[in-house]
Amino acid sequence: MRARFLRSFSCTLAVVYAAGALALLAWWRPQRAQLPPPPPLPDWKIQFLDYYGGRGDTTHGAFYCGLGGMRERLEKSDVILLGSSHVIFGLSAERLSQRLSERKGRPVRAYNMGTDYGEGTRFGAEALTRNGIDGKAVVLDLFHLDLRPAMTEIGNRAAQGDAFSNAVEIAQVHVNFFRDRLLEPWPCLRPEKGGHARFARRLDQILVRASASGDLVYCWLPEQGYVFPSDRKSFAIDPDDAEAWKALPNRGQSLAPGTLERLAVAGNRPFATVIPYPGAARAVPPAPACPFLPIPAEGCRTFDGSHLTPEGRERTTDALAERLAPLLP
Amino acid sequence: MLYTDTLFLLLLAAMVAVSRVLRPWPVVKEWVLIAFSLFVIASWGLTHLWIFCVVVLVNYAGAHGLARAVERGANRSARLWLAGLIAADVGALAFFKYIQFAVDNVSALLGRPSFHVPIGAPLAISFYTFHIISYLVDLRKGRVRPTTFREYLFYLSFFPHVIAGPIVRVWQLVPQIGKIRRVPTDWAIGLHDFAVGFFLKVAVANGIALLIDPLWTAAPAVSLSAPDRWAAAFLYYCQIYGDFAGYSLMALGMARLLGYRLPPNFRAPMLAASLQDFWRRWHITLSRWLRDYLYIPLGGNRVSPMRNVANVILVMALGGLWHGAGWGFLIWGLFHGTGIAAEHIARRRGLRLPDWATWLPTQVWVLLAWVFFRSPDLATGWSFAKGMFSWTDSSLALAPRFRFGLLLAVPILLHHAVPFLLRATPRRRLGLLLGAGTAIALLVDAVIYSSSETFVYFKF
Repeated sequence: MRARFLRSFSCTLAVVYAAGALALLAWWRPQRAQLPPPPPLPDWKIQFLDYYGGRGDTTHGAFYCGLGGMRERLEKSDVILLGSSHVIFGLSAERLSQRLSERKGRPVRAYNMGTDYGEGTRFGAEALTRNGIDGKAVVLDLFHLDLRPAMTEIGNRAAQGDAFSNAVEIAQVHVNFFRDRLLEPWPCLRPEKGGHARFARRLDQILVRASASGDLVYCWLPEQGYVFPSDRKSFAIDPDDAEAWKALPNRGQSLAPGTLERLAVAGNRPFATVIPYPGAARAVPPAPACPFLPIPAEGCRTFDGSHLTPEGRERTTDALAERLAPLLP
Repeated sequence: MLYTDTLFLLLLAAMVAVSRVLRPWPVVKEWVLIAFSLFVIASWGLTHLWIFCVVVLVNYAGAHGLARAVERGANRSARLWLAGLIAADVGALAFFKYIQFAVDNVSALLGRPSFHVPIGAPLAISFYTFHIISYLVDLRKGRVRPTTFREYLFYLSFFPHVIAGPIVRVWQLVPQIGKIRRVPTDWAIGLHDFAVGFFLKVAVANGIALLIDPLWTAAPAVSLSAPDRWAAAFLYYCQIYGDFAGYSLMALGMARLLGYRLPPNFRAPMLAASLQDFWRRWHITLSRWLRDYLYIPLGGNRVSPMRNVANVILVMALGGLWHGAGWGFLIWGLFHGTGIAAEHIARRRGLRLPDWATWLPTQVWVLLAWVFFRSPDLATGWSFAKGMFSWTDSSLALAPRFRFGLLLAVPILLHHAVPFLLRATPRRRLGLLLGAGTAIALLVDAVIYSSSETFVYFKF
């Protein structure tokens, strides 16, 4: 009886599953053919997977706990760029290093410590403190003017975890990435807010960054393909949008409480800037403890109405280097 | 690490393979499973692991002392050991879980601002505390023999049940430890249970959560009519069933794949025609624990009717609080307590109604209780519940999101019909039916996008 049950169970399971999988494969194939091809795998020797939409990012845990050699890279850096995805897309640490080195006549190393999920600068400041990183020039991008007093949920989770739990989370991001690459021929059913669900591509948004500098190598979306770098349509930022550009009346409100103090305790020198985006403040009154380095928006373009194109990244990096160089020792 | 994460699934597959290979050497196999179970706890944070280890070691040493006292016949000493250990365990649970709740409420009473206590509840403390207490009481009463350290550690840490149950008794699991068990159908039934549980969680519960989570706020973005509120409450009932029954099925399936049997935790609760029947179908292992270690020691139903009513309400209120530090959980427990007490009184007076007449009132009562269980605070719960009875017009029309949600509820209702289907199926066709069901569940599991929503009961 048991043998019969097992035979019947196994055969039915195998046949029904195989039939269903093949049917899905056949149905999805023509739709998948219209989608852009997946990007190549990162070159693991010099690149790392920053963000995979199917699971999350690796940088929160890696930065906070100094995993994967992050602590060493930050220690070796002279300039650290802190902020959200605006920093990831909008500044190039490698280019900044070159420009600063040329101006100062000595090697100056920069590292892009931008983090995803719209993280404010508080997370980065706490990560630097936790890793014992001091004596650096830290450039803070005041996206949304860093008015958030707290870290994001992702930031909090990384901060409340330890090296082990963060390492497991990083492993999960990679496992999901490889799983979806392997299962790329099949669709997935994505529930959406509001009660809809649709068949969509399995592979999700991918951000890959360079290990040595933290610079963004590419951003790839499942239905658009590469959006950074890309030949796709981009959007200009109007520098004269009067409503969007406004000065902050009070510098004290322009940074999350404790960020400057946290950085100062570690012996780091903070500098503030705003990477151009539609709606950014044009001017923030300078303060002795935190010099403001304005970056002009002229000529900058975004690919999605918020994040800069590679050309915009070059412009902002050059502008930042010009303003930062005289202030460095 | 959630049990629906791909990394966990890969590691589980590896553990199943290793268990098969190590089957002739059960001691080695169990140490490997213990190591993996501790790894699973550690994946949530090393602090959770250290706390778990300290609690386990202290209680093992204490249980040793208790067992010696019992063996010597030193009743007073045994009573002291038992009382001391239970007080320590409950004290630890109360401290970690309720300190912030106590601080908030005392501050509110004194009219002072509250402050954040930087202590979170350790993972699974509610569950392993109950496991420990059941072992200590059973040891004292001579129902179980003292376990070895390996058996004790395996019993408490076994990963399918450590985080969110089922609440397993020593006599249910320990006799299976150290044995070589060869049941050919284990892998088939285990795979079936796991696949169906995964489906209930990922496809159904997560999908419903996406629809209705935004509604449980003091000021939801959409205004809700009375029918919408009833639909939302019903969908939450389905969500928590999909989440918790799904998880429990996965736990049973994982254990079975590894060669162990755990007790079932759910038995079609939406078919319950009384609250007492509901608690024989919903979180069965918790209700049995409360009955055996709280209700019966308080006198059970062998006391005066008034005392019995008080016992029932107290036990259910504590059961509610066990779920979380919040007034909503207490209200939920009191809902069930007063309902069950009313049933006791009715039964004593000879009032009996047929099941078809009591089914709807029972389920409506359960639904109303869920509103308070889910709401972030009492005021929101009360406002939501009031809105369920504020019919501004006679229309029963539902917003589109609920219509889709009711579609998602269909698998939950079908799952309640499964026992009838199985009973009606000829034995020679069972393999076919379960094989097809498992294949469909696995296909949907593979296709559905999992957004890594945590299990509701992992938070308890």
